[in-house]
Amino acid sequence: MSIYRLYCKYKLILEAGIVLSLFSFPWWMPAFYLTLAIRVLFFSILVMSFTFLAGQAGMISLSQAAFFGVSAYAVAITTVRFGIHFPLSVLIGILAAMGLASFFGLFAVRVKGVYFLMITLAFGQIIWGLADQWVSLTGGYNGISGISSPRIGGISFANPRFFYFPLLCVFLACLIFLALIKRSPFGLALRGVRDNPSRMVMLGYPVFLIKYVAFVLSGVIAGISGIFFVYFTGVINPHALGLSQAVWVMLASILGGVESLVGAIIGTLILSAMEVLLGQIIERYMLVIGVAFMLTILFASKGIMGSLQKFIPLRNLINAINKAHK
Amino acid sequence: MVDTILEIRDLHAYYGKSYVIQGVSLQIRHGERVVVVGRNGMGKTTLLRAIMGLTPPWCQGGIRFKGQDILSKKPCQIVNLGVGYVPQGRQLFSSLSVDEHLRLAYHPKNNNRWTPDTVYRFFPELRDRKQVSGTRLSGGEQQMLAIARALVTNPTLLIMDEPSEGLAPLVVDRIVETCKQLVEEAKLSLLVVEQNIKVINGLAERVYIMVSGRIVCQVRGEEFITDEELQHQYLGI
Amino acid sequence: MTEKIVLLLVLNSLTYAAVLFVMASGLTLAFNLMRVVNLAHGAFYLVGGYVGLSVLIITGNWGIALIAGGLTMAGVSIVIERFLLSQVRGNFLAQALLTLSLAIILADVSLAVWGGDPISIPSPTFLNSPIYFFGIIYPGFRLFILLIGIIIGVGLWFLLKKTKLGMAIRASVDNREIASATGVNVDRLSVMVFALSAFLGGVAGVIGGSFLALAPGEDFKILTLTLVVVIMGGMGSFGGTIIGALIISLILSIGRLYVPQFSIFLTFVPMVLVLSIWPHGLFGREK
Ligand SMILES: Nc1ncnc2c1ncn2[C@@H]1O[C@H](COP(=O)(O)OP(=O)(O)OP(=O)(O)O)[C@@H](O)[C@H]1O
Ligand SMILES: [Mg+2]
Repeated sequence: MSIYRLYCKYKLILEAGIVLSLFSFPWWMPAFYLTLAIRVLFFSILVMSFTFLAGQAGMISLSQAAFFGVSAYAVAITTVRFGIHFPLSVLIGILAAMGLASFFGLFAVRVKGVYFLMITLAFGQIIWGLADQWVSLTGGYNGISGISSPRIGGISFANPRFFYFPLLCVFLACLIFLALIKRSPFGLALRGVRDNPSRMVMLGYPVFLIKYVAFVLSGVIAGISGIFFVYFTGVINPHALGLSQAVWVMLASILGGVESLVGAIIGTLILSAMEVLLGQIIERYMLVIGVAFMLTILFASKGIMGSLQKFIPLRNLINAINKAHK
Repeated sequence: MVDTILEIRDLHAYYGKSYVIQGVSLQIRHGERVVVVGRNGMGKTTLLRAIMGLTPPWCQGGIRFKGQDILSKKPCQIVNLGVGYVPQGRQLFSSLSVDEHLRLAYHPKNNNRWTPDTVYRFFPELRDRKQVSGTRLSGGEQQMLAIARALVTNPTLLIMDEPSEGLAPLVVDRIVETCKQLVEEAKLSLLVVEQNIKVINGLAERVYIMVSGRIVCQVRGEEFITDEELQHQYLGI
Repeated sequence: MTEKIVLLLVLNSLTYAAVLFVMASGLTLAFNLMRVVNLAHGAFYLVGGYVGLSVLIITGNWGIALIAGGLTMAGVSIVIERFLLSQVRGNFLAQALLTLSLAIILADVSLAVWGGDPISIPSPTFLNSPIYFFGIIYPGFRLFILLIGIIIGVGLWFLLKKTKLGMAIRASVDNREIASATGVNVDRLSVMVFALSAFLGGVAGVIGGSFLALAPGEDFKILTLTLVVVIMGGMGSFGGTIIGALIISLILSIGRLYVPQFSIFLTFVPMVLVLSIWPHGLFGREK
């Protein structure tokens, strides 16, 4: 409670301070941390797309990594194979994610619960199979490398310092956009559909359409994240859209709490930091992720759908932030 | 004390936050026929479920069967101790035939009076329809199968939840006759939940009246049958 | 010439269908009784296959390896059921996610134990001789696999339809509570069925590992195909499992032959076609 009061009192100053310091990063951060910050930012966008769908629409999607990967592949392929560059390649990337999400959504959105989970898993894995097998286009297991960041008006965005600013802007835009949607009538309708679909049907809401739009929207956001990913790392391979990636996203989201977009960011931060720390000391990184995931499910099994996340670190802070924005 | 077969003491049960059984106590003696009456939604089914160990998430109090505490036992253990259950609405298995119902439930114990064969002798209708799926039977046959399914577990206490619900009057008579026979010949004790006055009339030695999760009073069978005031108040006739 | 290719295609897809069927029927078994969508089923396949391989190396007997792969997974599954799944019973989504976490853990453990290089289980020598018929030469071992698939299918049918255990399973699937109130120990039954399901997964792993390869990633590949089979056939239906396995493996075999770069992707087509008409699959219903 006290965190909440404190937060409310200094909300404006605090948040302005956070945003300003975010913008100041490139000037004083060591390169290693700047790279980490960039990764956290674009993965946060991906995790937010999952969190939005899971928290607001109750859809636990294992296809988000596929949307992320498809737009990344689209950018890589257009750039490397066809010589199409920014901004057209980015547009194609977003359209690819949107197209795929629109198609998947037609089938996935009609079912719910474990069926939805299963179908999105199968769909995502099939896209993985395509990336892995269509060697002539995707480069197969090795993927595609050598995607360079755009150069606009003499500024090369390959330099992390310059890469950071557009990413931060897009990140903030996505965050604000999703937060606004949460509070809009559409967000309200979405939660209505999540909690009581039959009542919403009776009230005359186009339930399928509402869920479908949310699904496509979150697919597009995941795609945006994929574009920054591929530009920053310069490579894309099937691993980026595999199941382990999908699980990573889910874990980050659940760690922060699916109700909260800020939680998505914090979850991503925790997981990325863990990755960096653990990556240096042990080889069995996936084992750690798996065990962490298992413990999270066991201790927060109710938390998957919202409540009971007391065990989870930073939960109070996240709650406070959420409440302050209500 | 040796005489009571089932004793419930201060039982409470909740479905989530809704408090459905609010301190029920009752006793049944060996060979006795007891009926619990009450209007819809008063918690009668919940009471029987609690006895069977099919508890809602929350249940506390004391339930003793033949002196053993059965509150924390699993349903299958309670069946093995000798409680037979005929659930409300029959609840037969759609993928099992009549014969399979009986073979599945058959459990030899207590001098093994009931086997699928003896049950067929008792309910000849069922024998003719051995291979039919349980849910394809007529309402009356379904009820008989539900009773038969409980009988082949060879219980000493049979509990039934609204056995007459949705049945034609003639069939109801048949069920009542059957139940009486069971108690007299097979020395079963009977706990029946009912709203049908005919069944109460036919079976009740003692009547417990249940209102909103509480037993409000206990009367002898004849008293309840003759007291129209009582019936009007608690059955809505 | 074309007839020979067709015959080869059909035989190839039938043997593959046998593996997919064994996988999918295991998944279906656990789903029907416990509502668990076991996303670790692919990991059961892989680990079962690896265990079979190790046992084969020690004993030199393929039959023992087959049983060992199955039994090991059955044992593992009992531990999983008892100590993990029981924690989140009733919450179907949490169950599914829990098995997903197990899939990841098992995948990494098997990478640590058996390494990352693709290995194949040597098939039994007495079955290795090719068989000539209808003008084609076909490996005898693959026909043997088909036979095992059929035996398992018939065995499952017999178990479910003709035994008391099968009655208990069917009754519990219909109505868990009432089954327990007629004396069925549903908790114990669940453990047994989950173990049987995992046994089938492990067996499928030894079979599959003998004519395909075992490697990291195969677990999720086979899981995906299995999911596609059950999504198409309808979750919970054994008939749907058989039909789904036949369709998907036929498509896979055709794809492998003509457009290898799209073989996995092609399985998407029948699934989407089915789902666009029946959202819950051919024989599925909403629960
Ligand atoms: N699964 C459940 N979850 C929540 N509440 C329930 C559930 N089942 C029953 N209830 C509530 O518990 C109360 C008692 O139900 P119960 O079925 O025991 O009544 P009953 O006396 O058997 O009624 P009826 O004569 O209609 O069979 C009812 O108010 C009902 O709404
Ligand atoms: Mg009732």
